[in-house]
Amino acid sequence: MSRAVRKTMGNQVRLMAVAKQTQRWKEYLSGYLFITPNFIGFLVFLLGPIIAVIYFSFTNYNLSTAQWIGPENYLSMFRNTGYWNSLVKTLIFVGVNVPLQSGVALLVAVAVNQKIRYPGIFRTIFVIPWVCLPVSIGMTFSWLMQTDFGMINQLLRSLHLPGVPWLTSPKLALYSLILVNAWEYLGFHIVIYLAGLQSVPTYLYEAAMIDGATSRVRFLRITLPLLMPVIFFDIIMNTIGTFQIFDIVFVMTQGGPGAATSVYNFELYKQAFTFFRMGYACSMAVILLLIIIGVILLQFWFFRKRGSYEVG
Amino acid sequence: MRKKLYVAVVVGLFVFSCFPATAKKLTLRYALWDQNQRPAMEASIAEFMKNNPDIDVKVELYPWADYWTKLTTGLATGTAPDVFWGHLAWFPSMVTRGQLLDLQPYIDRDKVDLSPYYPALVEAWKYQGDSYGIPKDWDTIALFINKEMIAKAGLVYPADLKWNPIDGGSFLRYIQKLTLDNTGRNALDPNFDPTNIVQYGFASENEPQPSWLNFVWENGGTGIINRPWGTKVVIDQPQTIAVLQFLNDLIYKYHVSPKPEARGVWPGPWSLWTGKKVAMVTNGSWMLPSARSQASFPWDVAPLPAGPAGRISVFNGLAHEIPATCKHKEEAWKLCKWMDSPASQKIVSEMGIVFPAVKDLIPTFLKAFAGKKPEHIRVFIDETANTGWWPITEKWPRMWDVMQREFDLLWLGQYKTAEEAVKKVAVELRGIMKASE
Repeated sequence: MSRAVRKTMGNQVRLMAVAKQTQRWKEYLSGYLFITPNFIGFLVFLLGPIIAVIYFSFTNYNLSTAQWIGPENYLSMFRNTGYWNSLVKTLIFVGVNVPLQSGVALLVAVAVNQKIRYPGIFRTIFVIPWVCLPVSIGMTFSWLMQTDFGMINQLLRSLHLPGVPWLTSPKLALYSLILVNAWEYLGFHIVIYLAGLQSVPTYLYEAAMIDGATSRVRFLRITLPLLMPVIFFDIIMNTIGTFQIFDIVFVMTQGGPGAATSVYNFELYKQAFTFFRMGYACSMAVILLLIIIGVILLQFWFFRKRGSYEVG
Repeated sequence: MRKKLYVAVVVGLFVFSCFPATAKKLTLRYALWDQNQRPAMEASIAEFMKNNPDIDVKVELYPWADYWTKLTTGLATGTAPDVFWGHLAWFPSMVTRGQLLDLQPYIDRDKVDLSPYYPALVEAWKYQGDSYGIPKDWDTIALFINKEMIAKAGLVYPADLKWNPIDGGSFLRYIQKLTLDNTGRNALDPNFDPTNIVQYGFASENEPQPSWLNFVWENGGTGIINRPWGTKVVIDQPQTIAVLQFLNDLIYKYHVSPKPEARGVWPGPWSLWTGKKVAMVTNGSWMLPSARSQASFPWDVAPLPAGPAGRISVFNGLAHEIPATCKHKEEAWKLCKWMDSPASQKIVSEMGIVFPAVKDLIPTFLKAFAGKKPEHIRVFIDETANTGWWPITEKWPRMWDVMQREFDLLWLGQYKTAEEAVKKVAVELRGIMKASE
């Protein structure tokens, strides 16, 4: 090949390379432009406020002034018995609610997944509480659980059983709230497990039944292991949500009786919107974030082998 | 050619419509929470707008549950309404944070005469000698009674019940006769069954304003703090402890009062009264509209039972306030001055909804109220003869948080004696008073 031809070919190749690079660059640019609206939303409504909360947790912001006070909020938080009480109550709430709700939801999902006459009706019944407004559920149960005149106790008394102080006993109130909460969101978890159960191949069950496996063995050896990733996901969602419990406490007991149901978010709300100690409330929020992250990391570690579909 | 004409006409109309047709009109925002009073306020505002054609007033109503969060966030961001209803429970925290406009310079400049108003109300809205609100109305506490239950028990209208912490007095005997078990026996009967009560005579509750604070003063106690804006906690006086013990005994010793229910949306003893489970309950005159709409039985109001120190009621009153960050202070002051003036309160009184803060307008109110329930509406007015103040201190939210928590437990029978609860509360309250925040 002559020098001239080689030069032209080289130029062509170089041009093509530059064109390709510009093309790629243009693709990257348009990609970033496409996500810009979403990213701006993320910055303004999610990341920005989170950074603001972390900043304010080091100030004494009370809606009119904000001076930097360093770790004062955190120190007074850890010295406050009300704070530790709210943490303990929330840990109890999470510790009872998550296994109860997820466990019952799993069993119900397995039961509903069988070949029953009208599966749609059962699924609808279980999901209805979840689509009701939490506040109206709280109000209704407040009336039902009333000690003297509530319907639940009236029913018990008609069976010659003593009435139960559902919401007025400092020992019992928290568990009454857990019951209501578990009932309310059961449908959500049932739906998740039902979806997960669809992905378990039926031929496995058939093979197991031929081999004479009981339903209990089928559940423990086939369903449970294959459902582990879904269980993992569900438990994480349940934990994150339950740590933030607020509306049912606000509507039914306002943290009472005494401080028996004063969970973390309720205490935070009180500090922020009743006492206007915004800086203090921000530090409570930051610590809650760290606690939830910690608990999730623990769960990740627990599920490290069983949580994914890698066939070993 | 025609197309260009159309375009020119459309553009011209558009440009023309951008300029307001009328002269420059200023819009003020006015906020309140009570739907029942809205027609009266709007009638007064209409009169104001007639006399001030260059000001337009926009009324914004936020229900009680949302009003204070909306207002406090508005004050923090500078977007609060120009004139809004103020309440003494929130007044201290707002004024100590500099969020309210000091009205004293305007009052002095315009020589506003404050003598027509109840002096106690004028004083309540002052901070460090300056007025931050001119009184708009007031409320007192009385007994709401179920006339049917009283007639069935063979009793007469309780015009002058007396109580004392030692034996309960005629008040206790009255409510004992109104407390019935499922066989129809009342609480004075030796065979009365306290485990099967179907009707209670009275509802004792852990609420200072409608309930125990009145009884504390009637027993000679000072209250929670020594005086408005005071810093001395006096709640552990023996008179106060005796009152809380008596109100507790009504539930656990005499069985004439129901045990309290959980807080939250449960409205408390009031719904037991409207639900015909309790014969009498103490509450404030602001509950009159609720009584009219919810009580399906013949009802009335009666004077509070008098204690060893007489008959005393908690006195509270609203006022119109202006935020310190208001952008139209002169116009807002004009509206505020009008809304609380005797002339405006006359318009409001003629609708017979709320008691006017101008003393001489009470007859106008009574005339407008004639024929409406309750029959003995004068009870609330007579109570103004002897009143005490809502505890005015900027530490109130934190103090009430402690009292609500511990006294709720007391009312639920979790303390052996009222003395234990009060002593515990006093220690915490003193700590809050001392703290800088």
